[in-house]
Amino acid sequence: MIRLLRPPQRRRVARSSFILINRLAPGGTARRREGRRALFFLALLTLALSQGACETPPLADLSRARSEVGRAEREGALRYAAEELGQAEEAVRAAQRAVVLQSARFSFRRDYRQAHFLIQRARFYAVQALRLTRLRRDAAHREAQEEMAKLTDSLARSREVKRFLTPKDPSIHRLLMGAEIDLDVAEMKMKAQDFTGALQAAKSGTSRVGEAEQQLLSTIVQFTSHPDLSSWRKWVEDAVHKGRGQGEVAFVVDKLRRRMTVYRQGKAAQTYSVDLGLGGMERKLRAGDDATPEGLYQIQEIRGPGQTRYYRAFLLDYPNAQDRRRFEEARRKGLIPRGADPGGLIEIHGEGGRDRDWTKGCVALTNREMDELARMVKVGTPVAIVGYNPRDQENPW
Amino acid sequence: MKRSWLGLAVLALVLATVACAKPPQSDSDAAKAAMDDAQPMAEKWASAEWQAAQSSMSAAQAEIDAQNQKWFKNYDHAKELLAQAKADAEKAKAAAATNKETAKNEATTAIADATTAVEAAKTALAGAPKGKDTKADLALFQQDLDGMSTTLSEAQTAMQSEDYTTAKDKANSVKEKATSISDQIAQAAAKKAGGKK
Repeated sequence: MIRLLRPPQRRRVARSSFILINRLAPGGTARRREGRRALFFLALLTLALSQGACETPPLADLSRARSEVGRAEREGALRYAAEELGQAEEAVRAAQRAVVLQSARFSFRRDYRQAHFLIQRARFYAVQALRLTRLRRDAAHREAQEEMAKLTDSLARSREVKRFLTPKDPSIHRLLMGAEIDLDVAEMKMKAQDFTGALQAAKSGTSRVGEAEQQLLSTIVQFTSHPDLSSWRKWVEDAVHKGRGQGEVAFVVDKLRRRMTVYRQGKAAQTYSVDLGLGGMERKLRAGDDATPEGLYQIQEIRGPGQTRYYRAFLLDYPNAQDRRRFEEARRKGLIPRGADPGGLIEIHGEGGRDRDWTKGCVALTNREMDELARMVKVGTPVAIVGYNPRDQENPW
Repeated sequence: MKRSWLGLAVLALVLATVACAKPPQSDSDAAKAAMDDAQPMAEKWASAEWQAAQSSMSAAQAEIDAQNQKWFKNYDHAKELLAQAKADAEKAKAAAATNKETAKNEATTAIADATTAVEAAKTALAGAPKGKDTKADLALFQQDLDGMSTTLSEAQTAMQSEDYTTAKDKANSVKEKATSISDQIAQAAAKKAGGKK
């Protein structure tokens, strides 16, 4: 093979072969020197390879991922995006394990691709957690504010509801008191930035008010289809007819609506809010039951200022014959205690306008309204007191 | 001369090996165990201390990471940081227990105060002057107080489910309303109302 080469090439090959033989051959200064050089280059090569093979761990990315997770936590991800936060934390831990694992390996064998992937995953979930936290927290804040406004409105409406309540409606009272306390709690939680808690409290209050209104509505519905409805209609028509016949007015007290209508010439002329007896919608049976009677009455006596404790008073002819019959029937059935009597002194009087039932069976209006009525009333003016006035088409709620 | 070259070669190999020394796994495990132990309580009841513990743990992990990439690894500082993280986790757990107990005591006190206020209002109600003008008000107060008693039962339920904040808020609201009723009764007592029928 050497022979096939040209003379200069032959000389170079021969020289190289000589050097190589000298290196491998034992002994000789030149050979030793060459050997040391070879070892030196081998050491350098080892160092260079070990340095070059050591892949840099993604510490900066890992630290960034950790700080993003921490930020999400600080903004409340635990409450508003717990699942995403958990995924991010898990990915950070896994990335940390991957980094430690790879760092512990021989430098040639380190591979941080899995760690990179996990860090990206952690950052993705941390960003998601932060985004969802802000969205959900803002939504909860808004929703809590809306729900609290709704509850405030429904509680304001419930003040109207309360007007129709009597101590004999304990469950409705309890519900409304609970709703008021829920609103207080919602306000305290809003101050503490606990929007979810505020929303929960406000929803609880709204639900209680809704339940109270339902109970009240069912009471109203009962009265609009009450067995006494035909009697009520007859009393109203008789009173209105009687008033028209006399060219006078007629009063119709609607207990359900807490309203008194003045009929003139057969038509509703004025309406007034009234306060009733503590018994509310209960029908009077006997003295001391604090209920307002139901029936067709007429004014027996008109008392002006100084003649009554209640500014002005129109005394009704309660109990009439029908009231006495009902009283006797109830007594026979044992519905009323022995020694009881039907009571009396039922009036339309002043000192009212308290927006609640408080009398012992009378119908109370404001003093100014009593002044107005005093100008149109006479002894004999018909007064129908009914549970529900069918002539009044307005929704009783 | 030959020896020094050989020494250099051996040193290079040793360095390559030393660069892959293991981190302080047992310290790390202990700190993580302390963190895991503290987390359920501390997250809810000692969030500031819990975040401090998390920061310490992150610092320790960062130090381990930093050492992992060095040729001459020294985990002494990492060990100190891990010990700090462990101590912080234990501190967070202890703070959580204290804070929870404080919240529980505050809620218990608030409920007791509210109960006292309701009872005081009931006593005032029983002694209030009764007449046609006041009977309705007194009856409504009674209904309100009954409603407050129901709310106090709800506060007790919240206590049982460890929702001390809600229990306290409800109790404080009840106390305020019951006190208001007592005040109104006291004012009403100043006026003497007579009955009519």
